[in-house]
Amino acid sequence: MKTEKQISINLHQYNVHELYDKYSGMLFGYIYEIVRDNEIAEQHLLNIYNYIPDHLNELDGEGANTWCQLLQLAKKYLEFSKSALYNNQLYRADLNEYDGHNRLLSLMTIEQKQVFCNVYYYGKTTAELSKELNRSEELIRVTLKEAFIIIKKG
Amino acid sequence: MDIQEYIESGILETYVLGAASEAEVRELLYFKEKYPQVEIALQELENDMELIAEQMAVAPPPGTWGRIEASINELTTVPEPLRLKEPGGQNGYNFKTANRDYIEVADAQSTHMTIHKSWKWVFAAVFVLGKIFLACAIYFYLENRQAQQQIQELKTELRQNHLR
Repeated sequence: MKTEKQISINLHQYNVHELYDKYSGMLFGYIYEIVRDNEIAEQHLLNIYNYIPDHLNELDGEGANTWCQLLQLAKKYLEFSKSALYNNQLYRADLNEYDGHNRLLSLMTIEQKQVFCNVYYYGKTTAELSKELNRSEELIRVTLKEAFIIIKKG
Repeated sequence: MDIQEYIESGILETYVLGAASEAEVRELLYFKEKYPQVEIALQELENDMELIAEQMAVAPPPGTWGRIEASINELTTVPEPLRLKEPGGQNGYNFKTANRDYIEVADAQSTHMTIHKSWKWVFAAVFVLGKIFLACAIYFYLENRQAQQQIQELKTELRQNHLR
């Protein structure tokens, strides 16, 4: 006869396995773009999936997009692993080559890529970027929106 | 406020990427409740986010799931219960080797506690000793009662002899 604790563990594994099957490639690709190292990316992926069982309720919120919730969880974890983000500033010079595995990024202008990547990968707020790039927050938001339009058009 | 203008301002993109300030988040959640078009736009953006991630997906190295599974199992393994004597130990339970400094009493909600099997000999010894003490008590009670009766009989006999 299984104890409550054993059932709970099995339930977690089942859910985590499901999340792994569906999102591990997306999450690994996301982490890889930040750390640019297979082994480090795998270690972070492992740590994030270990972190998930305690946050399953957050991922299961009503009407919430699971991928977006998982991404927020990963960002929260990566914020605590500052070593992963040792180079958390994307400079203009780097961005010419910063297409990674993504065809969509190559369709963006340098400014769009700079804003999108700094927000998406490095979790910077529009206020922080506004200061760093010496542009208004409104302009940063509009640039971000343009980046999304490019993604949508594909 | 023109809600279409609000949607076009790029604030939804900022929110979906987690880059909005607390005040912006509060305002957006309010508009989301009030205007269905904000909610629809947000859902579309979340789907776009998934699209980006799908485009950038890279398969993790083989065996990664095995490592995650093993790690989760390790994190959630129930610690062994308290032992009277660690196998091979000389002075009973060794907290250092067991890497534990507390007694396991199952889950907080459980009404049961777990103990080591070696306790069964202690319980058996207590049970047997209890039986022996009970038998002794009955024996001495009966002996005492018999002695009391004999004393009583002797007293009666002495009294009758004295009367004669």
